Amino acid sequence: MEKKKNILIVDDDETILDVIKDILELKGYSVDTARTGREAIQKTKAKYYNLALLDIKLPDMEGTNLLSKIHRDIPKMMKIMITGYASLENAVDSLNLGADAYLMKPVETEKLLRTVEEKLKEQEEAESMNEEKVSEWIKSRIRKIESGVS
Amino acid sequence: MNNETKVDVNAFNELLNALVFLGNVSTKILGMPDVNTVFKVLEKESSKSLLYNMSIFLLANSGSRLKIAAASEFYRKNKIFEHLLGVSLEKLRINIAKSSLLTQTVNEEKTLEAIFADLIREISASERCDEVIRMFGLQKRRVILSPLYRHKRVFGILIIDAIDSTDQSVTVAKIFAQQISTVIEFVEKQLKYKKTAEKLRGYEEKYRASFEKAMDAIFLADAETGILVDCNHAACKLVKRKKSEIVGQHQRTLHPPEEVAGEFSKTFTLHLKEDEGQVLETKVITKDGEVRDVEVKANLVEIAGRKILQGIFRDITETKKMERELIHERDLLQVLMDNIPDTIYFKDVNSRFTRINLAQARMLGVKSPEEAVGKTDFDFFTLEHAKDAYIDEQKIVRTGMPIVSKVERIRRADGKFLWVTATKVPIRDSAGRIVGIVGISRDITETKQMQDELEHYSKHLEEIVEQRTTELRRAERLAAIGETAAMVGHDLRNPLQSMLGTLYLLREKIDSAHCESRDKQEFEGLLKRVDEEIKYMNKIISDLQDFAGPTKVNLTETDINDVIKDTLASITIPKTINVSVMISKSLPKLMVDPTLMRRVLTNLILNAVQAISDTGKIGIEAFINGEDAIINITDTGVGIPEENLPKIFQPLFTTKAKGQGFGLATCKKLINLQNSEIVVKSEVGKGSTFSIKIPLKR
Repeated sequence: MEKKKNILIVDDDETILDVIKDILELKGYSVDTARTGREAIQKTKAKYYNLALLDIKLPDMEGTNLLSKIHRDIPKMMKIMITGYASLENAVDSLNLGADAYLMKPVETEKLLRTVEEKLKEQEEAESMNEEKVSEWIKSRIRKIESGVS
Repeated sequence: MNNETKVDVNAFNELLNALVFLGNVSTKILGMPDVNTVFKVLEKESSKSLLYNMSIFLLANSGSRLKIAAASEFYRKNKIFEHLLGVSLEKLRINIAKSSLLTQTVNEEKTLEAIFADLIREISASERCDEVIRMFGLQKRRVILSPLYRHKRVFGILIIDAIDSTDQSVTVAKIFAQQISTVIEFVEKQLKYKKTAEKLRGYEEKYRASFEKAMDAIFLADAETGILVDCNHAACKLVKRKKSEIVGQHQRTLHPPEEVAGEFSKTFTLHLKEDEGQVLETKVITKDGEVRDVEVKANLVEIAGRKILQGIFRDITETKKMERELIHERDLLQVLMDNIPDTIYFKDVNSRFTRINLAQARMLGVKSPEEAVGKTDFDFFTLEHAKDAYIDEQKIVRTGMPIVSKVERIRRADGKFLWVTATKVPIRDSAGRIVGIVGISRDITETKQMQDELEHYSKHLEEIVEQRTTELRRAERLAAIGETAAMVGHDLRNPLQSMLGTLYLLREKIDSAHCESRDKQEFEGLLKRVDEEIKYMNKIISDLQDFAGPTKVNLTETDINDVIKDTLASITIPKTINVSVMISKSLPKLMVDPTLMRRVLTNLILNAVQAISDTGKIGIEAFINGEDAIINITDTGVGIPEENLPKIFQPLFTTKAKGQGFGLATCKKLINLQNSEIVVKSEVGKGSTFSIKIPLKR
């Protein structure tokens, strides 16, 4: 069985955390939640998450701040911003700071799941691209050695 | 005899000498003052000779007596002779009638030679006559009596008493007497002349004095020639010329050219004719060319046989100047009074008009100011106003306190009501007594109206300000509400998110639950309803946020075609509605914010869809109209009632059951943010057209 993907949800609204956690777990993800930016940072340090859903407004810091921090520390992690307060600026800022998607509350569950899936798939592809490159590199080395050129 | 002859010759010679002397005297007679002096001179001359005596008797007034006028020393000094004759020489009277000799001489004008003794006897009343004759030896002495003439009439007798007279002596005496007569006549003539001359001189001096001292300038001019013959000091002063520069000149030279007609000055001619003695006005010109006004009175006088016009000139330049100034001032006042739009009136102490200006005449409705004289306000105004004015005026007359700028409402003659400010002040005479009032009123009707309008306007302005303030407050409140709503909306999004999530979970649960498929369908229907309501709630929040939230505008070159396509793609339009899009190929890219445009178009198209209850058409077109690009969204929906048209872009205005009235308000806000305009045309039952006007030039 394939290893469960880890997802971190950061939101100050407990009900949202619960509902989305339930939905994502129903879809087979391993889900952790954090209510504050600080808690989120601690959790990302302690464990690897494939993807994080970040609310743009948090009690202790701006969601964008948290985003830039996480992006700096764990660039491979997929980050989806969810905001109740949509603006183009916000969106552009978020994307520039390393967000991989930008969703508006209330986001339809199907759309949320679709986005999560898409992003995780993108992550997988990126990783496999790296693996391919490595194996390609090894293959080429072997070919060189075999041909005795080196 | 020789001796006697000698003596005779001597006496004769001496007589001749006297005659010559007399001739000399007559040539010097101018120095002789009177007849008596002539006789005294003769006396003196005759006393030089011892050879003859001379006496002169003059007829007394009666003509029958003689009195002695002159006598030789012989008579005058011989007191005994006087005494004896009983008559003093000084007062000798001889009665002619008693003496034939004297009678003959006087009456018959004869020169006689007679015996002295006979003459004495004839003229003497004394008894001692013969004794005297003997005593003085007059027996042999002879006398010559000769008449003295004046104006060919005998007026006296010359008696020459010669020691030894001859025929020649008689002739000489006769000539002597004639000579004396001539001299006397001459002297008397001279004397008469002199007396006249003196009299004349006295008169002239007197005249000259007053003439010279006269305050008025006096010119004397020959009436025939006009030549000036004399003038006084004042005259010289008047024309600033010396007397020598006046006398001998023509009288017209005294006057400036305009006062001259023909040979003479106009007044000279008039004074010579009908206006003699009249006072006329003319002008004189001074030496330095100054023209002065004068009054002239002239009379014709005769001096030394010549007709002279005596002109008395009085300088009235100052008077005239004052008069002119007075007239000028009066004219000025008149001009002022007649042209000032304010009404001016003078009244006596009984409030009767004494003088008014044209404006007041118009106010009163009289044709000329004179018509109002003597009348009062009661003749022209309403009783009420006239009474008030009368009371005011009488108070001024009584107290002397003026009324200044009193605002009055009066009815003009033509019935029009006017607002005026009236000022009334007392007029006082030189003694300070109030003799009337002068009033001036200004029509302030227009000002008053303007003031009223202004007041009204300012009141109105207050209303406007109040209205604006209310609107502003409302807008502020709306903004606050909007902001709050947006905040609330934001907070609502979280529960909505939870609800959406929960719905999803519920569906999943129902899917996997063991129950009837009919029940499942029913559940699904209920869930869908909740889902839709959540979406609708979300839309409300979005609208609120769009309207209330700050919006950044990013104008970029935008292909409006793409925006319309994207918009249509994102909206589900029922199949019963036919949508047509017509975009002019010449339409360039527009400088707009594509995101905002999309939201506006979305809103407008959704509105159009909602307006069409069943089937209909939505037309979207874009084209250029002059300087602008126009985007029209037309529907064949229900239309908007006319009374709602002005309100539809206002926030919180809606006719929809489900709507908060932020849609069109947001559209307008977003369009205006792009410097564009949005308008609507609509007809109930036919449909509406929303038209966006975007300027091509930015």
